[in-house]
Amino acid sequence: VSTGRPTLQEQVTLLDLVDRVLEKGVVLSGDITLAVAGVDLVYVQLRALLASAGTVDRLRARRED
Amino acid sequence: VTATPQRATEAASAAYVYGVVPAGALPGNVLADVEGVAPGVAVELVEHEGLAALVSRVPLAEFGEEPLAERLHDPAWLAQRARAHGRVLQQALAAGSVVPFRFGALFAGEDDVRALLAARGADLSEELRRLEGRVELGVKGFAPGTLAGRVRASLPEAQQLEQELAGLAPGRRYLLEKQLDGLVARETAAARLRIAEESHAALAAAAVAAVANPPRDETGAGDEEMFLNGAYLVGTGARDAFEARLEAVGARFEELGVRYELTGPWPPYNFVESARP
Repeated sequence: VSTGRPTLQEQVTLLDLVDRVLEKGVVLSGDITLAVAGVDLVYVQLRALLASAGTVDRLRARRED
Repeated sequence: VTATPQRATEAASAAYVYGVVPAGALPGNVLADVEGVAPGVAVELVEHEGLAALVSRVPLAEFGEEPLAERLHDPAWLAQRARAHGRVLQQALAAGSVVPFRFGALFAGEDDVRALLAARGADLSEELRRLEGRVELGVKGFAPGTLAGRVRASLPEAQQLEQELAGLAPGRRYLLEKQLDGLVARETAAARLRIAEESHAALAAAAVAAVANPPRDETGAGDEEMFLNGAYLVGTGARDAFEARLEAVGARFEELGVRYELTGPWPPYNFVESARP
């Protein structure tokens, strides 16, 4: 069922994905790259935001049980 | 910006790299329907000496240094682009081994991508060989809020403190209650750590390589607390055995209300060197 809003499972999956895509994987540095800077910092912010949104949804889901 | 019109055109896009696969490993149609990190952009292969980089040409209006710095702070933008990055690599993983790059690897053009493949070719090829036929699986473990109650009930020292409490005046009682709470909190944390270490060791023994990432306590359901956030590199032929091991671990701690979540298969994000000079 698609409601247009991310489901709880989608939100959790996004957290798992962000943990990998923004925090792991090969990082190249040096002259050939144009830009990679700043991702580490925004990762922390994005994750906190997603996690708090996820927590809110989870609490809501429990109340509706 | 004072670039000449010609330079401005050349510089209007950059080459975004998702990761590297062995050349010839991806049939052309695998990437045909995948959208890149910018709306409507295709994913192409840039090949050099047996290696192929997964690349999209992205507009500098979005990925240039200044616009990028701004957009990185837009959570909706970043979440959407991170998803796209993950989708491309997932597609590549379905066809074979892949060395995933972290989000945000931008090069001036395809020649620079080839220069990268030339400069790092030996490392990347070796990494691809090591990762061939292997995938990353994620396992998260959650302990229920009731764990503290169980620990309290199982500690003789806590039982003794509780008995002493019963006959005390309020002032003295308060101090002893604090002492009891501290004891239960410490022992609960220690119990969670023991379960985490035992779980991780059992799972790691069924994997080629293993990483225990810091638990993210905000992702549990309700009053649950995450105690395990592991990543495991597993041969595709050994996935059933790994899942059987996870079931055995789950059964071992089931009576404590502990539960595990399996995710993946993922490209091996946790099993590539995260930084290269």
